[in-house]
Amino acid sequence: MSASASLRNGRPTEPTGAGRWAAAVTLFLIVLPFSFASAGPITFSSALPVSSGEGILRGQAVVTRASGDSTPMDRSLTAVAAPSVLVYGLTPKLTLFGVVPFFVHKSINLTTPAGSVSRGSNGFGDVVLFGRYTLLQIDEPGSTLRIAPFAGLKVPTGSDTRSDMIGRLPRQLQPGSGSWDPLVGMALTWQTLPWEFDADAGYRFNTRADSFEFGDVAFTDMSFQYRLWPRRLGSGVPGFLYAVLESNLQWQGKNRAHGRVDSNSGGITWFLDPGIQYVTERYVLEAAVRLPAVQSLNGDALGGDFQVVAGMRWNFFTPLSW
Amino acid sequence: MISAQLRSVDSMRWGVPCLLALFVVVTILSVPPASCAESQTAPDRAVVKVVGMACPFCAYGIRKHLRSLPGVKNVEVDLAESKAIIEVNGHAKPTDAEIQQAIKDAGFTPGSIQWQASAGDALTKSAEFSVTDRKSVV
Repeated sequence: MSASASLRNGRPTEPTGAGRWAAAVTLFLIVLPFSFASAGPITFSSALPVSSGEGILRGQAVVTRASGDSTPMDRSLTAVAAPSVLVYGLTPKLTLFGVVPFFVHKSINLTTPAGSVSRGSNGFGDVVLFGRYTLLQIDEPGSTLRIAPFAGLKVPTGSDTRSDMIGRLPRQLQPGSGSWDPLVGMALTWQTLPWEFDADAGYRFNTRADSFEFGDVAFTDMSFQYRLWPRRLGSGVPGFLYAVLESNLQWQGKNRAHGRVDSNSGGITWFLDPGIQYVTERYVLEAAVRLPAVQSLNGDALGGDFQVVAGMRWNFFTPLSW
Repeated sequence: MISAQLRSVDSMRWGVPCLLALFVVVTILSVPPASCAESQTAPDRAVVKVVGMACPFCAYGIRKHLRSLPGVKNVEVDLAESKAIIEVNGHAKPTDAEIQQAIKDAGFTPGSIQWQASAGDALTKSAEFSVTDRKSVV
């Protein structure tokens, strides 16, 4: 797993300096959907319960594409990530989560005065650990309403010192951030037999690492899942096929490097995500496409074209429970 | 001729009571001894309301927690009816409090619990008894 740089016209580029590269590759922070593992939304958390002693394993593949650069650099970005989420129900109300990005690939192509350049890296990303507690639970026959705050920490397990033949990669292309970033939020779920509505809101405090600090992130999401099949429920526990529509609204503050604000970073994005989900008693299969509805980015920050998310979840029981 | 008529009267005097007695015996033995079967069959299944259950993925935890209770040999979950049916093996039986706690441990709210004998088993046993006995009488 190493950083790489290639030169399409055969000539090496002159060192442009970390600052110039940072400006060249400034783009919207590639945010992996922080999707929890219990059945519910595809791209974010829900407040659905996880039984005491129950474990859930979730695997995802996330592909991000960003292009359409209006600057002469004609930048285009591709990112691929394969995060796994391990969930454990410590008690009926307290659930623990670990998001492990086993594989993160980022690459950018851009045009410089010396020719086209590609830079990128592969590697293990930053782990996110958090807990969620059910604060409000209103159960009715065939429906439940839950509200659950969550809090956690992004741990700098990914490398932030990758380099290639040109030099050290900009922060945005590193597998990890190098910083310890706490996050807090609240999730709401209203689930009924024919449909489900989920919403969340949260904030991540991005801290400084090696004189660089990504802008803080505030986010709010919504999801509506409608059961397409079966139209009528028989006995037992049949599999459910859902049509899904989700919304992800995010504001990101400007990055800071050596105390100076990067005016070409941060902004507001709003994604709409149509998707599909098949839910059984033991597993979930799902996929969604995140499409930008609004991108109000600062300066020359590169906006996203789309993001594809696909994954499955599988539940199991452990002998451990409190 | 008179003695034959007298013998006929005597036959009727003893024959009618005998026929009546036989009729009574057969009638008694033909009645399905349902009450007798019920009193000998303890409740072996419980229908438990599970409040708040609304998706297939959530049913797994409910099933596992109920299945781990003492004496439980099978658990069936019904999403549409918001219930779980617990079958016990007859040697042990979970208490209502244990069932309620299992539902809570699964993250849901327990509702009513109704114990019942397996109706099919009770009817089958009583039907077999009456058919067998009729054969023996006939």
